[in-house]
Amino acid sequence: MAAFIIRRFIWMIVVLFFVSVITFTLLRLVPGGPFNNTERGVPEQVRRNMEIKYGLDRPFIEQYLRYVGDILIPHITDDTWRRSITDDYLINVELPILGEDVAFRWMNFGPSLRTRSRTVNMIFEENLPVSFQLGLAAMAVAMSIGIPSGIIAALRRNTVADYASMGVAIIGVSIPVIIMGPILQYAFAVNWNIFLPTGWGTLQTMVLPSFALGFAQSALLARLTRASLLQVMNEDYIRTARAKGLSERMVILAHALKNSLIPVVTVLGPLFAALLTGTFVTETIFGVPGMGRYFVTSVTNRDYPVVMGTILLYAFFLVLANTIVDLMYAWLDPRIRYN
Amino acid sequence: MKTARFALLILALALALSVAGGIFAQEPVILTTGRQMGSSDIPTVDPALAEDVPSVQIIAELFPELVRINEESALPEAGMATHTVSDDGLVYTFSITPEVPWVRYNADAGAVEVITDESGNPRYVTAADYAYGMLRTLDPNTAGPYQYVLLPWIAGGPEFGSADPATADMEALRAAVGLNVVDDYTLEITVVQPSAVTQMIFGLWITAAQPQFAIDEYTDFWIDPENIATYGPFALKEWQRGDGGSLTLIKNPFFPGSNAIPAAQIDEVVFRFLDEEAQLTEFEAGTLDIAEAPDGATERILADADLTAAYFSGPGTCTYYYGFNVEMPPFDDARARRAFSMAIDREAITTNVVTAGQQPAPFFALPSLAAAPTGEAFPDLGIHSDAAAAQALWQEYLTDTGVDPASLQITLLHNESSLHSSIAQAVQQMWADTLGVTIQIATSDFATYLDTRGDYNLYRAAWCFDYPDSHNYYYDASFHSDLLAENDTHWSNAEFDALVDQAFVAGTVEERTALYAQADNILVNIDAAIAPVYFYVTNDLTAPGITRTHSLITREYYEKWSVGQ
Repeated sequence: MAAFIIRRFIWMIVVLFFVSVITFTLLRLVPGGPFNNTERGVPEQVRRNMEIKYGLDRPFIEQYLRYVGDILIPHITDDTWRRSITDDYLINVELPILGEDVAFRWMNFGPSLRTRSRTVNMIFEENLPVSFQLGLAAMAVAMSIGIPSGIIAALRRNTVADYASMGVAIIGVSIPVIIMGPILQYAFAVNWNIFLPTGWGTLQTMVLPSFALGFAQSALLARLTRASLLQVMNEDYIRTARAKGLSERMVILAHALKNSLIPVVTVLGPLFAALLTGTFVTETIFGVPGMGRYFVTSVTNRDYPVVMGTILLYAFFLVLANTIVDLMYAWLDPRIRYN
Repeated sequence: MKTARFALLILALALALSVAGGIFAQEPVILTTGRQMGSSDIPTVDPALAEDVPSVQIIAELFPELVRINEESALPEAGMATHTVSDDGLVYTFSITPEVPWVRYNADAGAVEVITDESGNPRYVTAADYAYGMLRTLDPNTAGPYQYVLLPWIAGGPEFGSADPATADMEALRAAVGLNVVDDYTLEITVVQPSAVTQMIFGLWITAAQPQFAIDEYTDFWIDPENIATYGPFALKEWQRGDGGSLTLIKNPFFPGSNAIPAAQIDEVVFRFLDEEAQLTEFEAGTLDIAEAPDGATERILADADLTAAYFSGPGTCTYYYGFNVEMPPFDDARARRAFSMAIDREAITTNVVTAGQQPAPFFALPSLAAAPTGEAFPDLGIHSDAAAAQALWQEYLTDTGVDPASLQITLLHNESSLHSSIAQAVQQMWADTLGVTIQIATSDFATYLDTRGDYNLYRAAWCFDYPDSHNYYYDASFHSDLLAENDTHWSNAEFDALVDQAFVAGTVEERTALYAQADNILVNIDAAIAPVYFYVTNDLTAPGITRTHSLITREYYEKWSVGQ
């Protein structure tokens, strides 16, 4: 198991390396730049000043190495260190043993070139937690609706319960958040004044986006759970379990359900990574100050460090989530071993 | 009896409490607005680094300018200073309002506080702070995106601002900039040349006073609410960063107030960063006082009595146009450009395609600008939609040049947007119907579009003014040959240049307007380098009970607004 995790960790570094090289290269190949964003062309001199300030005038390879170096190389700073948007670290540990104001600083993801008053780290620190909350809440909604209704549909196959829950699932899959969001806002916020249409941080603002985002995913989970459970119910070991006299309840809970969750867990991993790092449409409609919009706006703004930061973050969570999924397999199906 | 007396006592107590409550716990008046904010985080509130509408809106309240551009007339008036101009028009002497303190919101105390220096005296905004602000804006090391707007104006500014910091003697160049601090409240500014436009420039955020003491101490993060120092009618209370976040301004009780910049009447203004659609939803839910009206929702708004009562539609700040590449056939010939421009039915576009009250644009400059020609004063000015004349001119072009229309490959570029796409399809149809030419339409994202639009036959564009003077349209929009390198039509005309240069220094508004009218006629009619399409509008919704002004210049001055009686 430990060997497996170490192997996965090494793979993660390889994946992040390739993701960073490809993204960095593609970004520089696309026309347009971070300092050319109004209809009046910025005079050459002014653009050069800005490029020099943020090191964009240097050769491509040097820019990449500097970027990676800023993230990887730790610094020990003393009291002469001043925080600035080009010198800001995600990890800051005070080291009182070495003297006053001495600190260990690591992982500088660079400045946001569009705002020029914020760093990628600040975006991670302030906006990622919001997306995390929304993602977790949506996951909770998705799982608590999707998995039970999938189970009910499978166990009561071809009954009203089955058709009803699968009908709801079809609706959930077919209505995107871009439609569902405004409908929920008009019903619950404008008409009945139960919740607020936009914002984040209070129950009144958190329910609608969590539900809108979670409901669409719950439909997917419900259909997957149903299909998987139906298949498992036909397995030989279920017949064996029944034959040795177990109650139907025990058969389902102890034998069928656990095994049927493997495909569900498989999709939960990437889904989790995607939801946690932010969702563009939901965050825009509900005015949620999360990370989701940065994935899109940073690309259109050619805000290179923010694009790199968000992509690497997503890649990191994706690999992490998939590793956890693989570990879950071993728990769900004892036949799977990582030795 | 006992019960009755007890009840009376309770009643008296309740009455006393409610009276006391009314006196001591007066509810703050809070206005919530989404106007002009957009759904992205505000990039900055640093006057030296701001270039976009939301940032400038906030800066106008925190760092008011020496000259204030009146939002209703779009004309300059005395702001944080009164000024006189020397006879040769080269030296502006500003008498700055004395004893306006630098302030900061103290979150622990829950109040705005005056910032004091080391010896405990209030720090006042002085001439040196304005000089420092302008020098910081100009400094190439600051690398401000809007530096180039200030660069040409102040004597010594071009030399200092465009120097290479690695090799030049920056200290000498800085000292040579024409900013002379005479005393604490007197600032002399020497300009490059006399002009009718100059005082507008001192109405831009890039000339605001900046707090050197805070900038030196907190560097890039000096604009965070706990570090910032401001002096305007409002102070920065909170700033929830991020797309979908918000920014809260709180009344600055130490701001003295003047005619142009009165003390605020509203206690707090909350700016929310929301999509237009989300703003409308919030407005309907009663949780947003000022909302933008999305173009697509005009019909729905006008069908609802409450929303119609809240709706206001006024002139916008941009002109929508198509730029012709004069270096590629067929638009290397003015007749082809004129034919295409005349074949655009502008009325049809503003009645059927963009339906939020936009006005057809026969000429380039917005009529609301200072010294701009208007349709009333110049009814024949510009290019007028005329299918028959367009056909005749196009035929003449084809016959003279022997071009086979079937061989023409014309591609129009616009940046991705459903609005631009609908308009492009409409003009594509008009040109096919009238001229028998079917053009191709290409789209790309904004950054790519800006980089590549000069390589296409024609491109969609819009010019929005930086300051509301016609000079900003005719000169800064890069049609003057000084800016040819930035002009994606690649067009230039010496006669046009001469007219614009003349209007720059001309005396009266009437003289300037007449010159600009001639220049516009060259730009859109004789040479037809561009085909203007329509003038933008500004539409918004205001909740009942709010007394407000409607701005012609993008930013609102919330200190002039009030809520209730």
